[in-house]
Amino acid sequence: MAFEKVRDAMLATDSELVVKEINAELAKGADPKAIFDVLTDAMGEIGDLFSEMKMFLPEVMLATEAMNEAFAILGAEMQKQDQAIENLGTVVIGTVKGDVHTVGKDMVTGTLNTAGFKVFDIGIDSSPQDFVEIAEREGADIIGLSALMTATMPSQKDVIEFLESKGIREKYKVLVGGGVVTQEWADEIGADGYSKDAVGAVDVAKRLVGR
Amino acid sequence: MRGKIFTYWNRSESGPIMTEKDFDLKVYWPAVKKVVKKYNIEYNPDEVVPQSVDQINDIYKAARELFLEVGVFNVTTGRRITWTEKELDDTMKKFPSEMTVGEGRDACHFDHRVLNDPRPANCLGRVLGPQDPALLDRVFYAYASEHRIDHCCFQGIIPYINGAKVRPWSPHEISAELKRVSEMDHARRRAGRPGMSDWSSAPVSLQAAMAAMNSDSGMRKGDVRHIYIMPHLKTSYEQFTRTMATFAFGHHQWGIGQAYVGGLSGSPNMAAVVSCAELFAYCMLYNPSALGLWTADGMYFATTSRTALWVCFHAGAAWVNNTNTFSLDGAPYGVVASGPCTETYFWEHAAAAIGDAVTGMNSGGGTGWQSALTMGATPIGARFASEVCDAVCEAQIGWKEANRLVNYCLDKYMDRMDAHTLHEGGKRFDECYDVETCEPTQEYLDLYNKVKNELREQGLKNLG
Ligand code: B12
Repeated sequence: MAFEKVRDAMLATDSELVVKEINAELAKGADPKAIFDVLTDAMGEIGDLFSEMKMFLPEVMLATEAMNEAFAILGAEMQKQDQAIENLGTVVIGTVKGDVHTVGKDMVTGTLNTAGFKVFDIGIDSSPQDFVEIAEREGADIIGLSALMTATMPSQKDVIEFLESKGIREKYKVLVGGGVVTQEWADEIGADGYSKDAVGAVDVAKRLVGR
Repeated sequence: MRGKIFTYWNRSESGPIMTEKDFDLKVYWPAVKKVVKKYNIEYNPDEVVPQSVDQINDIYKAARELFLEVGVFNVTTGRRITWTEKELDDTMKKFPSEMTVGEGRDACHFDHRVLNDPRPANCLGRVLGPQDPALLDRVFYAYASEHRIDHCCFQGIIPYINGAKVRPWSPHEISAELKRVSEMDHARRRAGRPGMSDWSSAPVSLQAAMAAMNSDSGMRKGDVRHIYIMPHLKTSYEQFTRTMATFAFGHHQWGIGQAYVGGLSGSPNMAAVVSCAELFAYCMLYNPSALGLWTADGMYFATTSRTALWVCFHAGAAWVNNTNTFSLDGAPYGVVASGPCTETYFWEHAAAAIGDAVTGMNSGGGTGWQSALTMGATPIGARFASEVCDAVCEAQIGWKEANRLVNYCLDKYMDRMDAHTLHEGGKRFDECYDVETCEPTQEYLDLYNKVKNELREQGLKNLG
């Protein structure tokens, strides 16, 4: 298999080794795009193992770090050759205002990252302004809102209404989730997508960006 | 006060400083991997109930080492609080082996339990998830009058009040908490159990919780409130503030070792070590009067999956066999995935109760639908779990037979849990309980009796 060492380093979630192997391949004159594709496939494998609970969140976080470092190197190389890095789309995700539950949002960040989305996790207790500022800055396609409590579900609606008030609702697809959230609630507040779990979130996100 | 908790809190200002991510990935995670490897702790999916005392003792040793190496990260100050071996041992030596919560003749006494304890266990009831405000008193009364439940988390969430949604830090949150506490207090009085302890922690803001933290509102000193350790091995000044508020009113605190299998706690064998380590964190930081284990799967919230039960029973047995603390509340810690009035609702409770019994923990239950949907709490689950648990204790079936029975129960629902569909179906409280008498409908009782009969056929002959 091509670039086996790069792939293995990725599956070992060892960012230092990933960088070392990439540099070694580039020094040999390898095509950065081809290396990038191998890494993307490895991330996909990690995502599958994660969904099956055979790999775990800390490993996915480490793999994501490794991928980001690889991006930095390969992206620069690819730009030199007028190639562009492709991803499925950009997602800004966070837990809404008043809510500090992070586990579910982190799981979704993990599955989206490994599926090939570029994900900006803005953390917990995030205000509508936080979501919109980062979404605008990063040119996001999707805004993902996690809410775990009955009392914080209305904060999802706030983000949608904030987007409307700024006249930019149509620029983004809004994806909602979290323990208490249901499809009915998503419909009621006019969200574009809902998923009950982190595995399903990938399918819905792909659908939202037309992939 | 056991242990010098204020001295330990102050280490939040002097311990090693770092980002939360560095704590997770560079301190906590490598340490978890290291101790699990050192003690060679392995997950065997067929042995949901522990089969080896050596293994559970190793889990305890690994948890102790993990706790001493990593400490607890205070997210407010970005610093790590750590302890010496001597400090940990001194506190654990003095830690109470008995505790009473609640008041008067309705008080519930927790003593130390042992593995395969033959004595009946305590039973925790939990009203969780959103409730219809108009029916809240009915649900609370049904729980308060369920005689098997001896301590209860009356935590039903009130979604709206005074024509407004109840949002964190809004004035309505205070109104909702005042309503919840007074309805809880009325329910326990009407049920003839005024001193039964309430373990709820519904409001997000401490202000709202504190507004009702007085006897005029209906809260009593025998009541218990939740203070938390965040996943994993993390705290904050907010938690210390909550602890201070409970000290000020003079009531109790409860805490749970948590685990999210697949999430930050990793694989089941790692998660067992982590949840056991979190119990140390409670003892060192919060002076708790009650401890338990709420272990769940990270991809589909479930406390009764094969992996979540493995973690709970192994972590619980490790703690029970190596410490002298008052007993722990075990799985499912009040909530299952199936909806009320389904057969699998009972199988999930049974699987949890059987393992709790032989690992020296208390039983409990009640809420269905992963505590996510409206009106999903019914006390019959707790009743059933308590009956099963006590029958197992009395029959002294041992770990091998307990494991066979738990696997038998798991076979009834694991396929749907794996497909993430177990929460589908079921009925609301007001569809499966008579809201006047607060008794379960015949349909619900038939399911309860069906599962009981099948457990008797499976050998649990003394199940009444
Ligand atoms: C862990 C936990 C905590 C931890 C959180 C730690 C942390 N840093 O995350 C701590 C202890 C801090 C905590 C605190 C509180 N909690 Co809490 N908590 C939980 C618990 C037990 C598990 C949540 C969890 O992590 N689940 C595991 C993950 C994987 O599941 P999940 O989040 O649902 O995510 C999955 C899906 O929903 C989906 N998903 C999630 N987000 C998103 C986003 C998108 C875009 C998509 C598509 C999908 C998606 O994918 C995920 C994976 O498949 C739940 C119980 C429950 N039934 O969920 C209560 C629960 C959420 N908490 C509750 C409460 C009341 C509180 C407190 C108010 C208690 C208190 N008084 O102190 C505080 C509030 C703090 C705050 N301001 O937010 C209640 C809420 C009740 C309600 N209906 O409102 C619950 C339901 C417990 C209960 N049954 O009563 N809690």
